[in-house]
Amino acid sequence: MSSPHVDLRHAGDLLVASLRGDIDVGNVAVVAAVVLDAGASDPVGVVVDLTSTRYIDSAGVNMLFDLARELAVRRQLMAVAVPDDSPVRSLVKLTNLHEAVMVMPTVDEALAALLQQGEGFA
Amino acid sequence: LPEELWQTRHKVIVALLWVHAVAIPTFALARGFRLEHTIAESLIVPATAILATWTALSRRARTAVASAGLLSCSAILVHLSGGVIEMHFHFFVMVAVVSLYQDWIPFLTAIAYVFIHHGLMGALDPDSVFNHQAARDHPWVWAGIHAFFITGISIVCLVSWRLNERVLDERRRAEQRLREETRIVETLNAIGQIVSADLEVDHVVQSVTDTATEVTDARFGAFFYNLVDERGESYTLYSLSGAPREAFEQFGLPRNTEVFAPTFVGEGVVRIDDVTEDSRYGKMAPHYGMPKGHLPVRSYLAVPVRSRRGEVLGGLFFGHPEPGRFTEVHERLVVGIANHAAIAIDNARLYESERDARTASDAAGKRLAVLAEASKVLTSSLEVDAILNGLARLVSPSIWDYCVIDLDDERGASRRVAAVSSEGRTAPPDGERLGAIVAPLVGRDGALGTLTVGTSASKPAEPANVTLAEELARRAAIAVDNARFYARQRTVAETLQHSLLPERLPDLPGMTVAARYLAGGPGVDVGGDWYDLIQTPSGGLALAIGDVVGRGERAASLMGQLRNALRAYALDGKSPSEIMTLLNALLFLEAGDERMATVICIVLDIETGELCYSNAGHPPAMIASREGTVRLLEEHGAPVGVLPSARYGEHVAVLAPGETLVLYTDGLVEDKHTPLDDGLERLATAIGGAPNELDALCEHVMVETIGTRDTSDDAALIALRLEPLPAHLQLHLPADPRVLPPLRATLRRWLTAAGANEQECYELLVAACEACTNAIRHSGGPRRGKFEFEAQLNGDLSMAVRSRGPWRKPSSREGGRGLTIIEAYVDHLDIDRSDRGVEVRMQRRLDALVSGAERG
Repeated sequence: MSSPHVDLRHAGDLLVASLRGDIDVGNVAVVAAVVLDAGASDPVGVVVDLTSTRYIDSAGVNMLFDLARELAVRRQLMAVAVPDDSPVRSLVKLTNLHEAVMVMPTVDEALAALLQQGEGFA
Repeated sequence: LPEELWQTRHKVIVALLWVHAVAIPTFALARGFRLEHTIAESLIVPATAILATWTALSRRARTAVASAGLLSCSAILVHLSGGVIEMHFHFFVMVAVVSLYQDWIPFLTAIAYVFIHHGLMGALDPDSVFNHQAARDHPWVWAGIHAFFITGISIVCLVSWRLNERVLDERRRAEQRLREETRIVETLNAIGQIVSADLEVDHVVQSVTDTATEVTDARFGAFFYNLVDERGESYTLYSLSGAPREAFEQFGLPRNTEVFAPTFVGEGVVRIDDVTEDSRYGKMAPHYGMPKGHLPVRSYLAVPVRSRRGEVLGGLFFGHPEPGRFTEVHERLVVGIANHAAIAIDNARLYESERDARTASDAAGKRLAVLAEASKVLTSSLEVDAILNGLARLVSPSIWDYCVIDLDDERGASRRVAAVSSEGRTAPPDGERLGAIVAPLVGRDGALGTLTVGTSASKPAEPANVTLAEELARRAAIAVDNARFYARQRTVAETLQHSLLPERLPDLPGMTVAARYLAGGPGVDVGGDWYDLIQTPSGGLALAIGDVVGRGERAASLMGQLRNALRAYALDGKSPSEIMTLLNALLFLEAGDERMATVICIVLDIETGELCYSNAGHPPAMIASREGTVRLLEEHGAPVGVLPSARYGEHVAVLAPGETLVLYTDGLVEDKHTPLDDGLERLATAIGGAPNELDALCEHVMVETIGTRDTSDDAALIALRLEPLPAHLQLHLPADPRVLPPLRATLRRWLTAAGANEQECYELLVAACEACTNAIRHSGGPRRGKFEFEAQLNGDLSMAVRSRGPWRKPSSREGGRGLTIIEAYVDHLDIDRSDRGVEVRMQRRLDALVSGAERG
């Protein structure tokens, strides 16, 4: 399963899902499915990378909350990477996404944070 | 003696008397008699002359007086001459003279005169009468002797006169007979000429009847045609003369009675002076004679009319209310007329049968010609109404006066497809359907309708024409079947094709799109042309146009596969060159190298107008500037389905706002008579000179390139334009979430132009889209309505979203967060809720404007 809005790569036991372009009500369902599907084989968790996301609105943020909940059910961790200079960072802050998942400025930091947390779990 | 002749002879005799009346006194005076004696003796002569001219007397009396006068002259002359024997000759002359009367009276007078005169005078004065003693002694005896001789003379005269008379009579009768024969022959000749000059049986029979009735002086005459029914009677009244037809109509047909039979079986002439007295009359029930009210007939004459072969054609009958009117002459005349009539009827029948045969052969030729022409008309087209009208016009008026064709439709209702009549009416009233032939149109699956033909006159239909009508109906049914089969095939193919074309073009903000599709005709086969418009995941737009080479359902189905594949690839965000490579592979998979297709795929960034295209052997897309100059996107590769490993390049161009991108298929630029380059030039000219409004532009281009040309190929055209955005942006948008990506692209374009920075742009887009998503959600779902979006700069930037329908309070999960976001991203938020709908007004100060204002 794939979506033109999602680039997937695996880093160790982690999945990095980079959301590209506009994430809106028209594609959130597919994006979430793709991420959940791909992340099933990664025991630790998923980094959702918003670095190359040009647009995301409440539908996208809701999707991220849902994703976090689904992953938690599967005992998987989730982090969101949002660069400090990204326009979408304001929305992440505004919606208090950091209360549900870790929000890091880069993918690497997000990966590191997840691994650390995962070890903590272990 | 005829009166006239007697008058003449009587005048001569009276004149002779007067001659004697003068001559005798003269002779007496010359002989020396005294005047008084002379007068006394000769006075008797003028006396008888006067008496003979006295018309009060009868003819016989005058004859007797005149005869006596002349004989007296002889007696006086004998006396005056003194008994000269020669004077007796005068007497004999006079006897001969009076024989002119051709009567016995003068002779009787002469005999009586001689006897009385000689006897009386011989007794009174014997010497003056007799010249021998024996006579003087017995004057009465000798007077008798004299009278006896006179009687002899008279008898001889009478006998010879009688004999002459007989000869004369015979001659006269012969002449009379000759005259009658001549009259008969002349009459018959005249009749022969009349009847032989005519070749119409009816006319012949009528003129025969008229003439025969006239020459026989009959009160009326009739010709009965000899038609014998199975009972051996019944004859058809054919023609009538001297009486109106009504006089006989009430009696039905004459019956084969004893009176009529000899005529109808051809035995010979029947002439009866009084038919009512005839033994054969009045034998037959029910009338026993003439029926009541029949014209009275006593004299009866009937003659059979026999043909040369001896066949009795009929009979001529004549009647007269008085008995004994018909003579042998009449009989002979009628027999002659009957012979003439027989010949004339024979000839007329021969002529009529020949004429009928010729007419029949002419008609047969005409029918064959009509059938041949009908086949041509029926196969000339596949339009049912057109061919059936053609058929109707072909047979009316050439064969029939009118032709009506009704067809039953699928629901069984009858529909009048064609109605042609020779009088220019569209259809005859139902009541006038006399002599009509109704032939069913029977197709493969049963009755299709009816073909009704006929003449306005109430003539029975000719069997040959019935056959013709049946044959025409049969052929028409086959044509209707074929046309309907074709129409069904065509409908199937067109339905398939149209299902493969976009049902409607998406209503996209900031741009206009128009398209045309013209199915090539005629023929069942549809082409493989298609076009499509797909929103890409990146918020752009993919345009595609293609043409599977070939026609028919296979081409159409392949086109459908290519179209769906292209759609899927574009929705998956594939680039044009990737799409082409995938389509090429798909086509090889589906059709080997049997089929190929030409395709253009363009992905347009509607924010920037940048377009990326790939062309697989398709005629180049065109971009028309606002000034009307046209440039071609000329880069292209091989059609898909030709080379298994073909690679497709990707090329870029820019579609500036207001410019028009035009994609089309080869139906617009190529046909049998136009080379491709000329076609491209013609198309470019048409696009350059077209009206600005996009739908009108398409119409103009179709008319200029195809016009009324009967294209065998399909033709598709799609035109797209990014509209220049006004300072006051007003958009009417469908309540469909798919409108959001292009709305954002448009709004980005507009916001960038308005001076918003990247952050502001993002936040305003989020605010606008949250409001719009809300509007879409409570406008009742997709396809249910429209909503309005408005943006303008009035110091600050203000946006408004207006939707109809009731406000639905968003659940805390979705709408609640959305509302929070909007409130965070704009300076002012107003939400008006009313029965008519909801208006969300947002206002935000832009940094650039603020700093600009500060600079100002």
